[in-house]
Amino acid sequence: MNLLGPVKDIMTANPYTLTPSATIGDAAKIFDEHKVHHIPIAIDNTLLGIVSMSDYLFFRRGFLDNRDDEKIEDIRMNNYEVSFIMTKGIATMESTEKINVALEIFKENLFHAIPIVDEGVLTGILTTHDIIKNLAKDNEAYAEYD
Amino acid sequence: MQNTTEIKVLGTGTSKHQMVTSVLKEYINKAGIEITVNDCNDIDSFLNYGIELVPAVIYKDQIFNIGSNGSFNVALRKVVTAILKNSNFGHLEKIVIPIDFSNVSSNAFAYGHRLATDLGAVTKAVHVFSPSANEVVEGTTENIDFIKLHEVYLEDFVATFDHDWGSDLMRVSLIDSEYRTGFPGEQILDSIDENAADLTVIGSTGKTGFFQKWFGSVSTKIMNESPSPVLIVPEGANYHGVHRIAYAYDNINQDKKVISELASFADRFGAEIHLIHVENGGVPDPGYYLSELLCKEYPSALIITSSIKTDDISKGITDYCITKSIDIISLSTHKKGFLELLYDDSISQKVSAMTKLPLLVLK
Repeated sequence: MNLLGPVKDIMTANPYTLTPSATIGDAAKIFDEHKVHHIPIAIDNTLLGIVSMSDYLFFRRGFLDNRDDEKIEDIRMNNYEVSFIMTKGIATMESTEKINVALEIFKENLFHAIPIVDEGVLTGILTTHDIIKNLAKDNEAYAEYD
Repeated sequence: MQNTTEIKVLGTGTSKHQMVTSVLKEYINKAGIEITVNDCNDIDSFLNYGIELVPAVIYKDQIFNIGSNGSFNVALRKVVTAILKNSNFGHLEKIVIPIDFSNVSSNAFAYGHRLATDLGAVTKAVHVFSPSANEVVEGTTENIDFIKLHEVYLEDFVATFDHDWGSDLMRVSLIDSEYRTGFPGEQILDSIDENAADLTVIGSTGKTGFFQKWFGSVSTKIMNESPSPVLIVPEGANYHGVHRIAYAYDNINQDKKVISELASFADRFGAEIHLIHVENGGVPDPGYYLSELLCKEYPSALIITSSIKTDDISKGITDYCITKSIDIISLSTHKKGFLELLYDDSISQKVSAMTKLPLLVLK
């Protein structure tokens, strides 16, 4: 993986997104079916926030010790929108920025995903998992200008 | 003796201390209660009160610790609720939601609580314990205190909805719980009256067949006798905001009160009002008259009138509600015959739609 290459080389393009009015139950379905940990919240590809698996588990926390209450859990998830738990005002990057800039952002902060936004349009998402996946493909990371 | 119209917020000026003060001020202001909120940064006085952890709130000689254990947000919500409860939450709107811990009522509670959040109202969870003959016998012979048991159920239920799940927790409607014993119908009506409830949200059984069976006898009683509007939430309904409210009417002259009530309810959400007239037996459509009445109370841009020509009234209205993605259907109790027409026979297609559409009964 060339650390000086653009993030678009390793990002996940066209990620699963939800609108702010989608329910937390809809987010749960995406987490479950597609094994992702972050869902950008957008209207017409304009980014508004992001819901992570941790936000979702935090919402459900009260139920984890009582598995009998699954029905109430479903009811709550279907009556609350993702806008209640999404993180707003998040860091974004453009797809042409360099991968090492993303590494610095991940190093300095506690989050694990950066939405990639080009001219106001959400084009992808870069997660720490993308970086690990690409590192694992190579034998080693290198830096080289084209 | 502390001044009863004063709240002292003890702390050292940290961000949490400031947050407690500002949240209390905001809520007291919203509720229009005459209580002053004062900061107290004097460490000596903390010791006098015997407080080890700050921030803490002192009201009417009662000490509320915030964040000493568990969640800061939940503790703060409890303090605000306890203080406002003394004045029945002032000007804040109150939504009474009866619960019996069934799935139907849990769903109605979730729906109503979410609606209350959008309205900036307070949610009142009311549970009425009505002991069955079995419970009376068991209670006497096996020494089980069912009253206590149901109180604990209620606390647990409220805690389920009131636990900390996000940074926006203060934005969510405050929940106050009320435990009563007696006949459910009467007790709920008493609670609506005592709390001066602005709206009652109640679950419907969703069974097909006769009118009473559909809504359940308690819901029917409350719908008929409550002085304020009642929102009946079927089990399959989930809250997705209120964007479109349909008002179905036939040929009966509408009274002004119902119309203005509908307009003010819709206005809170900026929702469209769909006036649906069902042409039944060649009765002329009084839609223009209704829109004229509504325009005085409500922006005319959001009023949509339409007329349905069909032999099957309920199917016509249901189809309209599906195609226009109506969120709430509204009717007035004056027209019970019409209401029964909507719900009273069991065509499978109609049933599937009506099991998802909340019904607002205006007075």
